[in-house]
Amino acid sequence: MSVNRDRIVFLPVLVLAVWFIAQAPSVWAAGENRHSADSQWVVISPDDDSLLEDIEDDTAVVSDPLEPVNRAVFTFNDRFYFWVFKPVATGYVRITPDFLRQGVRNFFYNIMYPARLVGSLLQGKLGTSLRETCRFVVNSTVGLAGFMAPSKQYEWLNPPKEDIGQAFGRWGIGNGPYLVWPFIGASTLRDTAGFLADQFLYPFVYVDPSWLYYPVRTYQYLNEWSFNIDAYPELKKASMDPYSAVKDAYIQFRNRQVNE
Amino acid sequence: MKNRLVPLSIILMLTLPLAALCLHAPPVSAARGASSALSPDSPMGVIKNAYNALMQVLNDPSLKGEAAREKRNKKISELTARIFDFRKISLLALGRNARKFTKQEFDEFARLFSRLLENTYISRLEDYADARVKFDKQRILNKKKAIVDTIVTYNGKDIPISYRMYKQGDRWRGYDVLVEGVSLIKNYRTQFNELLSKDKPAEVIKIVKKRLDEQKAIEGRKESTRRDNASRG
Repeated sequence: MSVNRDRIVFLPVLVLAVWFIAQAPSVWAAGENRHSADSQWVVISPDDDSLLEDIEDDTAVVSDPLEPVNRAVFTFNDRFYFWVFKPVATGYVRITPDFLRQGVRNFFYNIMYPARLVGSLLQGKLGTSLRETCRFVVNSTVGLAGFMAPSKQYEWLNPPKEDIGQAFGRWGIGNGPYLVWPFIGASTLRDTAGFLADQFLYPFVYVDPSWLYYPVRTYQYLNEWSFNIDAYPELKKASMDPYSAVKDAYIQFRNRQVNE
Repeated sequence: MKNRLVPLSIILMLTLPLAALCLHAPPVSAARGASSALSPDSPMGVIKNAYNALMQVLNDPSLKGEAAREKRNKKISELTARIFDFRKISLLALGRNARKFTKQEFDEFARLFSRLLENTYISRLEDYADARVKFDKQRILNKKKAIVDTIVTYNGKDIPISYRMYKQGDRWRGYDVLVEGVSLIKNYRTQFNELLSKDKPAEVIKIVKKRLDEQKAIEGRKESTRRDNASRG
């Protein structure tokens, strides 16, 4: 009897307890859920979610432990770009006929054949190596020592540009920390190693006197960038933070080259 | 002198036939992309038609100069909106951080950011006005996603530019541009991510507004030099 009475008291307590527990999550969540429930906040629909998936892959993320130093060098390069490079390049474009600039560009591209060849051989890309070699032969002879580029007429003779940094990437070596070099700009530890290796395959390194390398290389850069004087200013004015815009663009660009 | 000429001529004799061989080897497919009538509703059709119309506006002499500026800008806005869904782009560029915005804040952000993107796109089109564009191919990824590949030849260099499209109702709309494999949206998302990790949405809106004002100042200067050149020439 006494047991029964206890049960009768117990039952409503149990029901109350169950009801309370069932209610609890929505009560607790009320504060948190205000975000999606309240019409005040932006909601991401499932359709947008599927578009976001492509965008949110994190392959383009690179570690940047040296960010303060990198940013300082970036600022230096930025000043150098606007105060020195841009006026010089603009003057250079004004006084140099287009065909000459184009010829110089072709010449330098052609002469960097060894680095591209080794870069593609190191990745085991025999087809690309063959195409590079054919391109070199054609442009060095028919193309008058590389100043002309008859190869441009033939899709087959325009293989993607390889380098040793890309080969390292193909081998599974990660980017390593992000680095910004004075004058040269965006790079990573891996690509810096690749770049240095590339330099040993740059014919002007072996020309006597050896210091000739620096002016020649500088001129090559000037000529190359004279085709794209506005590229950096355009990027700068369209970005929220030019430093991270350049960093992200560099990593995305290199990732594509490595995976190509 | 003679000693040097002999190896040189041998090299030439060996390489010239090789060069000839190289030039004959490549079977270049000329027909690719040339045929097959393009439906104006297909992803590539949308891009191609709007692009051609944009070029017409930019080259139309009656729409040049300060006087026609408003009219020109209105036309350009209409046409770029045919290619891009700027509101969607604004949302995707924020990524999941968009949930930190109130609807009101997002409206303001989307309005400003769309203007910024539109101006950037137009300014690039003007720079590339004498470039050759090849509408290469469209890749339909699934019912709702497609990629349109174009190749822009500028200063003797081929630049691959692709448009990511999604289907909204029965209409294909662009939500991303990839220049040499660099996704514009990813690039902006990285930047907004960094900003929103330390700043509030209101601060981000301020920065976009600042960029837009800077753009306007540059645009104004460009316009006035153009006018000077026109009156001089």
